[in-house]
Amino acid sequence: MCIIQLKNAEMENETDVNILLIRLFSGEASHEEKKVISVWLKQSAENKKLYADLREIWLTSGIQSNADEYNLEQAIFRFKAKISDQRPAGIQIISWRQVARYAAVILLALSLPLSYYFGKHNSASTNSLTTIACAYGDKSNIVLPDSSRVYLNSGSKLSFNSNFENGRKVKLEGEAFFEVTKDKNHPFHVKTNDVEIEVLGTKFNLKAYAEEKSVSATLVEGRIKISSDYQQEFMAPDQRIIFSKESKKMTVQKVADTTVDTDWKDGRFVFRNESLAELKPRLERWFDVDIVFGDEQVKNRRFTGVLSRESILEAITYFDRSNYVECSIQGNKVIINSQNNK
Amino acid sequence: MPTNNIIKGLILGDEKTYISLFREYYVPLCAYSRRYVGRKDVAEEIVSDTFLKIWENRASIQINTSIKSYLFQAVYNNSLYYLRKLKNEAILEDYFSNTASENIAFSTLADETPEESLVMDDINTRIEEAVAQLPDQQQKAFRLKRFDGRKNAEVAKIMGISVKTVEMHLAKATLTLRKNLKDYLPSFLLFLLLK
Repeated sequence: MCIIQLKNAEMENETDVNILLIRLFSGEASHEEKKVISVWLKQSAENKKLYADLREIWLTSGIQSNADEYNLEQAIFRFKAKISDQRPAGIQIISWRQVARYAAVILLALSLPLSYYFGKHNSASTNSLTTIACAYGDKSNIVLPDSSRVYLNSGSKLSFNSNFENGRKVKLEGEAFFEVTKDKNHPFHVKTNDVEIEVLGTKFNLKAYAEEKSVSATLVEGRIKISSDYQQEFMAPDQRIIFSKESKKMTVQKVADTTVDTDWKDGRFVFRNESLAELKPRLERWFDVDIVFGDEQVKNRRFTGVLSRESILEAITYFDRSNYVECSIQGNKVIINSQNNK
Repeated sequence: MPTNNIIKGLILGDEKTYISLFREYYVPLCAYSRRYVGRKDVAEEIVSDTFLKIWENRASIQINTSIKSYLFQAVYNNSLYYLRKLKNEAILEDYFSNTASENIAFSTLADETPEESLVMDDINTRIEEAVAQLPDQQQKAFRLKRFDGRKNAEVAKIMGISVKTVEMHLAKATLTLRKNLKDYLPSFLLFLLLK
């Protein structure tokens, strides 16, 4: 049907063709749409030029964030498999790392029945306190006794009574994304050092790191009540509430895109126009490193980007590539300098 | 890693050297191959094959340029080889078939080859600057799409507009970017790669 529309307009509207090109670039063009483009391409050298230019912008702008999702990890995996096939068997050396890995698997297998036994024993007898801690560089995914799901971010801790006997109550230090199952008669409570949240059934993100100056809650779905010792607010979806530990005040913000606050749970580290000083604590938790700034100006450099499965080594090459900063690694420390400072 | 050590690692078949080159160049190499071959899956295959061929012929490789240009030249050669083979086999029609939904582009046999002399300060900064000048809605759509890698439908949902409107914003955005970045076109990708 797109063809008919375009023929009627005799493609006089440049934007119509461009929309088709966008659909093609996004991998969403239909068979008919592709035909229309191939006809249009043959019409003039100008069209070909326009097409080549737009494709160039499209491809290049997506490289840094790997927006087109080229599967690097799979390619490396296949490459490794192929080259190890071709290596003569005699030369293969088993490294200590491999030995350690196998040992870990065996240990895990051995420990499973034991922990299973202890676990069962525990929950049957007492309502004990369970604490799940997530180290720097790690993330975890927990299903609570009421089948609510919690994604726990790096450097966070969640504790709760193992069988929710005294109600649905959890305590959080750090950041977590909650998907709370609906239960009108049993409100779900999340306590942090500064605020408490009460919900019936919702999805929300709560960030309450001890080392940060504020606590922030972002609501994706449903309704929540958030209270501090001084104030109480009800939140609607697509709102973010920030509690300042200094002024003890809560401010409500409207957010166009809640995924900015929740992307971390899908393994995406997203930053938009953030200074290195703002990024420092997040990078430190995410990669489990210490970041040191070599000079003052470098702290104010702003960056936009997405990191997904990258290691810290890859991440710093992205920052390096900006030509504003220079990163180096010493042990567990990442040192960031202004490039012109050197 | 100094260039000499990388070349040594390549010749000796050191796995770590190969993996680090994968990590640094795989994505840009794929984008580069894709501008010639059109399809994402084919581009990925060509880049992986290029690495594998280097590994297989490691004893006899000679690198007189930078590693980067060596890799891009090799991927370029292999992409053209693929297109020639495709032409011979007269299956070019495949590009226009329904099954190849992945096409980002139709192949166009370009005549330019990578040149070392093209050096640009920082094309990423240019892109960022040009994008920052776009009108709000267009900018938002373009960022979500190309900087965050969202699907059109996701962008629509996030922005609370229809997919059609998203596509319109993206179309207008790329046209404006073309105007504002015209000094670097048509070899935009090369500027980035040869930085």
